[in-house]
Amino acid sequence: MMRTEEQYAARVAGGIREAERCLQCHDAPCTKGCPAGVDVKRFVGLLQKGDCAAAAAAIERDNPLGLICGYVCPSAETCQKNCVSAALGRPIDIRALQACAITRGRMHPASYQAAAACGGELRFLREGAVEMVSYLPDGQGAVAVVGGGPAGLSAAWYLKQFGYQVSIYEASDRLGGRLTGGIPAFRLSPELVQGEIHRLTEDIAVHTGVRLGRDLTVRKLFQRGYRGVILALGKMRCRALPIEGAEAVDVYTADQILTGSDWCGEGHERAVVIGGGNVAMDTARVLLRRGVGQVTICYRGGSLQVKALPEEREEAFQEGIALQLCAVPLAVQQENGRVTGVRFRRTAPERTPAGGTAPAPLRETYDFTVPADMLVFAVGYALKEADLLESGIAISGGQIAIKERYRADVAGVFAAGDAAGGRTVVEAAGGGKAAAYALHTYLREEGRGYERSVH
Amino acid sequence: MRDLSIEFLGFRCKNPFFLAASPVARTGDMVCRAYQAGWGGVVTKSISLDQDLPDHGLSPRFVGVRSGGADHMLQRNYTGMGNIDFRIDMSVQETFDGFAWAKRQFPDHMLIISIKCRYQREDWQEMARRCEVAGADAIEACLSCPDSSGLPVCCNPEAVCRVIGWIKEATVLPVMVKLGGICDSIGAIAQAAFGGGADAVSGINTLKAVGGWNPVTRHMMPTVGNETAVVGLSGGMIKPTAQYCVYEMARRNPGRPISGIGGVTCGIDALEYLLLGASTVQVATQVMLEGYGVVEDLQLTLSNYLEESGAADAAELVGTAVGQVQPSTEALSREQQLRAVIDQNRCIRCGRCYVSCRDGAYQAIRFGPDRVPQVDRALCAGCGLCRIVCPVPGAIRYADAADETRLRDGLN
Repeated sequence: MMRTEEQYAARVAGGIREAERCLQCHDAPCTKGCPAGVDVKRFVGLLQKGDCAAAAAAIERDNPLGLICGYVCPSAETCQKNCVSAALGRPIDIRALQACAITRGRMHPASYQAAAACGGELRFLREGAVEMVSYLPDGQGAVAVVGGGPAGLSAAWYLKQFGYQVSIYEASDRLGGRLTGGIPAFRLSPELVQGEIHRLTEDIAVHTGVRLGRDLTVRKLFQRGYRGVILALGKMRCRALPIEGAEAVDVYTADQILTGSDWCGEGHERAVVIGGGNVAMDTARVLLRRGVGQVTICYRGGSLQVKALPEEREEAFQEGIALQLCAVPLAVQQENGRVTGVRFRRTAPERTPAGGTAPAPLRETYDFTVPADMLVFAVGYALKEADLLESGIAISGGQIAIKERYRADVAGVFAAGDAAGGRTVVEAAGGGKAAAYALHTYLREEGRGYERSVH
Repeated sequence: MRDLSIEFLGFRCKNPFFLAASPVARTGDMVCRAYQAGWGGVVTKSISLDQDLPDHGLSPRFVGVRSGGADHMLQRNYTGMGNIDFRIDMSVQETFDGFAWAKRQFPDHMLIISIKCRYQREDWQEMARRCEVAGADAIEACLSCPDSSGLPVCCNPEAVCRVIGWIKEATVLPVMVKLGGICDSIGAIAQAAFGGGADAVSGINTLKAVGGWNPVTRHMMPTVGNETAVVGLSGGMIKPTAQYCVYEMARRNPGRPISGIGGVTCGIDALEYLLLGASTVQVATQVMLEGYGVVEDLQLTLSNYLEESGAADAAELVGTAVGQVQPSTEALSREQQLRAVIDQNRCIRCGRCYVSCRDGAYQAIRFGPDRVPQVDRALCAGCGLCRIVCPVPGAIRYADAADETRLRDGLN
């Protein structure tokens, strides 16, 4: 089930055939569904006509992470959700077409660069209307982006196009955020990610190992002369459930497995992964690849509540990962300090007053134990709120409080990505773009005594 | 399978389907395999005396042509083929020997040897005699090869007749002349050819064309060095033009034997040629793309249609649709007035009809935020463009302008 670049090349060949099925609907419901605002109808239309370079340019001006999204976008829930071709059998595989367009478009560097240069203006959505912005010459001043994940990379790239001198401050020792330390290599090639990061940060100053809260505050950034700041910190704290025995040595959180930092992959045969999202699927599949013989994913809800994308779930099943639904963990069982199993309580979906369903625990009679020698929590990520404390950034509902148009409650500070409520790479790309545009318009309108007028 | 046999130039062919003069009928071995596959007859690739001159063949010789789209790496969806493969790379004698051998293997199958020569009496006569020696059942005189800087012979009725006369002096074999779609009136040329003694006409030859530009190499294709030549265009793309030519030839020469050529890809295409007046149908490009086996589809479609229509044999179908085509719109009735009707249950809300009607027709379709296309009957002219662009069969139909409930289908 490897989804490597080589395999993708075959899908790329089929891509044009796929593009030809597109009806080029008058009002393009697909385009309306893209969180990054990619003009899907236009790029697929260009593919139909065989102009891959122009198609690539059309994608990348709206989403600089277009190639990466071509591999990992949850397109069934975004652009493809409203695809009219579904009525004729199945929706257009827009995600594969996006990878196809960019891969093919770059095969001929001269045409690709020409198309990118003639790509016209950048498109932004503002209150539902499209606003076009021309690329600007350098010399608009300096801005800082905190966080080098997808949202930060996207924001930095757009700010660069607007003519700002951009610096990225990244807490870890490398750029990429969840792209490099979250999505496993079998879903997204690390070489591909490195190539894209390199491409996006060509004229951008990158400072790694600099962490907000520890080495830096927003105030200090303004003191250093940055005209504006974009916070794209991500949610880098991996949650765990405070159940009995959770402090045992064989209990991990998903990011320890996914980044491989704290677990060498030896000495375990049976793992339980708690969670029902894509991260749980990824974690379970990584465990399997590192030699854990039996992996069971346990989730408190029923199959309708599982948040993982159908394809992720399907691939996990095909690899032999078991799924225990309607199971809430109660306690970790231990012997001589080592995990021997996890005790669960059965749940059943129950109607909530809001009209949905939520898992409600059943009686003790139905409690059961899954034998395991390791337990991994994949129950979501949270903001490292402490990092924001000293900068005086308000937090609300577990994310950076947004006043309007990506603006945090400190003047000149904007937020994007997971830290501002995003969930996916494409949302991060779209958020970074929108935050960059919001910062740009803010600086343009404020003027701040800046002589060089933008328009 | 029904009996599909038909008589052509005095020869009883197993079916009306022939290989056309092209690379698919270049050698005796290929001709034999085609007969085995079920082809009723073969017109060989044209033999010319310049085959004996020292000359290496061109490479490449073909270019796939799509109707739109610039990506030449796709290698699919070609609706046309351009070629610069105008001669056989074998000596004249070897070529004749191969065809003669094939005819001896399959005496019951029709072999028409195609020849092309300079406008020289002695050349045509020599080649005609050699066809007779090889055992050909007929000769096709190719007067329409697109590989010439000037006009081919087929554009000049007197020259056509002169060539026919020369051949007739040299041989007793029936002579079919192959005409091209580029002359003023192919119907009149065919008429002149029959007047000049031709036993049959065939057409059309490939059309002069430019093969297309490759945006990556920035050269015209098929690229030889860094240039190309005018190509002969064939394939589905030329079928409507070729069928018009056959129709014109049939209309001006009722009852005369015509062999239809141009863009046959399936049984329906071949059937159309019969209905438009051809008694045999020649195929080349589709065989180049999918092999000799395509004849099975052609036979099946014809057999089924004979069964369905109750016709006694294939000959009974020939030319039956010629009268249905008027040379101009003047003669057509204005009684029929239609309006588009959209079946909202079938409509999938893509809005293509709206765009085409807005920019290509009468602005008679509305498509609002509710995404439901509505026809304004007062503006609709019943032109039928919306039905053509609609992706769902049966979602757009026509009704009589006077009677909305009288639905009409299959009109365009």
